[in-house]
Amino acid sequence: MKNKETNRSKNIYEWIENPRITRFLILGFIIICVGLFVSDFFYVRHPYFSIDKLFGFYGIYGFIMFTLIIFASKALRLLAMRTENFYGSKAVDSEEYPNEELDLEKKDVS
Amino acid sequence: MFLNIFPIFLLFFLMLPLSLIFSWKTLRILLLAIPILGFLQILSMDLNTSYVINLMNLELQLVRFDKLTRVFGLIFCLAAFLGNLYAWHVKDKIQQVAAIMYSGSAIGAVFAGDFVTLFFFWEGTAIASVFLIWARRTPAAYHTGMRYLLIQIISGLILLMGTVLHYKYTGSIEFSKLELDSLASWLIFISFGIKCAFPFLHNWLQDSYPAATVTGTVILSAFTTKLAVYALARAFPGTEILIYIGAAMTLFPIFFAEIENDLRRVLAYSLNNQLGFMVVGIGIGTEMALNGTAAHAFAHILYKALLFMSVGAVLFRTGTSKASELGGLYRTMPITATFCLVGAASISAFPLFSGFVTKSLILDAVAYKHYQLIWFILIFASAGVLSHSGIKVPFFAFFSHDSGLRPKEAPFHMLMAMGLTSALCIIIGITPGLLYEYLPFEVSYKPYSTYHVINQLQLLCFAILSFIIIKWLNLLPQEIRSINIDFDIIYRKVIPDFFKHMLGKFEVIIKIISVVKLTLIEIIISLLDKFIGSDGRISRIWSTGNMVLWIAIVLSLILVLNYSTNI
Repeated sequence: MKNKETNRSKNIYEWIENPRITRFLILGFIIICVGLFVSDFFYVRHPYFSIDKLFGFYGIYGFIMFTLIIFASKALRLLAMRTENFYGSKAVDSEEYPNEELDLEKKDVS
Repeated sequence: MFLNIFPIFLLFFLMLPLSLIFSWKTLRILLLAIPILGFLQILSMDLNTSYVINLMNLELQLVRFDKLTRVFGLIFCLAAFLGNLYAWHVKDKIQQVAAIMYSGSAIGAVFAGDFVTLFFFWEGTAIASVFLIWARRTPAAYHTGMRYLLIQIISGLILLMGTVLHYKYTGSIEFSKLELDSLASWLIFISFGIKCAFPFLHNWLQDSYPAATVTGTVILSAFTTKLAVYALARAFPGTEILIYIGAAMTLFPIFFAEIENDLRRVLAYSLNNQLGFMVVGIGIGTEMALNGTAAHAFAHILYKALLFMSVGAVLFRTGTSKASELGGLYRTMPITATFCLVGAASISAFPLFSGFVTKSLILDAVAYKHYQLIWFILIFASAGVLSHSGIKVPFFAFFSHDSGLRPKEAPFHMLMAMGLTSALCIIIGITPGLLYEYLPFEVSYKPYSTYHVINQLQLLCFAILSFIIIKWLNLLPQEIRSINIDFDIIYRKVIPDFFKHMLGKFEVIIKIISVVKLTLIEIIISLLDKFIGSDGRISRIWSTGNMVLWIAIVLSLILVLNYSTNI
């Protein structure tokens, strides 16, 4: 995340808007993942139990569990989701935050 | 130098009278100075100091200072300082005084050496903190505050009942290790459990934190629940049931956090999940596990405050903290976005950030005790933390699609507070020894071993890979303006609706009852006067302890009844 100075502005996250850079970064990230997976060959592992002896255990577990969380949450949503004013006026869910407390300044975008 | 014995947290309470004299501008300087004084005093205090006062034949240990007290005292002072710095712009004296009294009560409770003193500060945190919710000054915030206060007060009353019974059984009010073998210790356990947001007792947290003011939530996030963690670590270390309760706490909030739209509520669920790790540590109860709990509480207070600060800054500038309304704010709030990412990396336990060096202690302590299933649950929960706090919060607020909002960067004092907190998260991550030195027990643990770092990176990177793929396939849960019902639907909807329904059906009977009630009250008052008036029978036979117990029970009943009919 180097500061990429451009003519338009000097936001440190400027690169996000450039699809070529993001594609490159994602590719780099995938290479890192592969490297991490293969690295299990090259260091002394320290399993606590029998299952985590498995080659690439942490990677596989992380991947599967994360996926599981996303889909289980979507299932939970079917059961639990309600409209914002479900609890009516006695909950803050559907009310706007009072403006007196805030300082809603906009940035001058020229 | 500082007085070694005088409990400096009493200075926190001086702010109440001082607020009548000084303007908010002077107060905010004191609000920063007092936590610093507290911090320095705790650093300079000798271990195993105590300060006892005698109050009506009761020995109250106002200060009991050991290593466990020290680490919680230090982080509470730090959190008070950072929270008050973040709230530098707040002109509202009520919030200023509430914040300082709240943190003072939490520190007082940590210093308390007996249950009676603990009770006072326990209720102190409840009463002071509710003003941080009410300060939003909307009817909805008032009702939410009421719900919050009732539950907190009930927790206190149960603690009081437990204390009275404990005193009856043992003749002691000392706040030390208990076994779960009597009604007294169970009551105390449940009282702590309410404040610690145990499963089914947790909803006050997700209900109230998103309702507090921008700065109020940051301050709320630090104290109440971690005070409960401290109390559990003090009274119930090694209590096995805590392992399972903690594991459940790490699990269920993950799914709710994933689909919740209000980012402050996402963080409240995430807080609940983090508490689970600490509770498991207490349940394991070994020196390593308790060190892990204390260290994790320390690190957690910082990164959780940091995350609440960054979302708070977004709310402060845009008027909303809802994921469905936000996105793309990195364009105009890049510094806040960066601090949010530091908080996200810390809570996800990336190597070189604070969460990594503290959570590992708990995880390894669990593994060494051969709790295989629990260990797998905690690793699973670690992936869950990454999903909601590590990715969801920064992603939907600052990146994701462009919401079109172009708010100004957060004000300077907020950036200062976030910058300092971020720095602390990184410093602890890089040099864990600094924190380990202040833990309750000797630490010989080395978090930065090759296998540890690689395993953690494997877990996190593959979870992120899963995120990238799911995002690419467009299968992420969408941000929808909505809420999700949780267990609190029972007392917020089902029971009140049931009462309303019943009341509607028996209107005539209700009227009769209200007439009978008035007559009854008169009869009861005269009866009460006869029995427990100054010359009454019970007041001659019953001990004060029994009286207190009954008052606590009656008060709780009234609270619960009031709650279920009036919500």
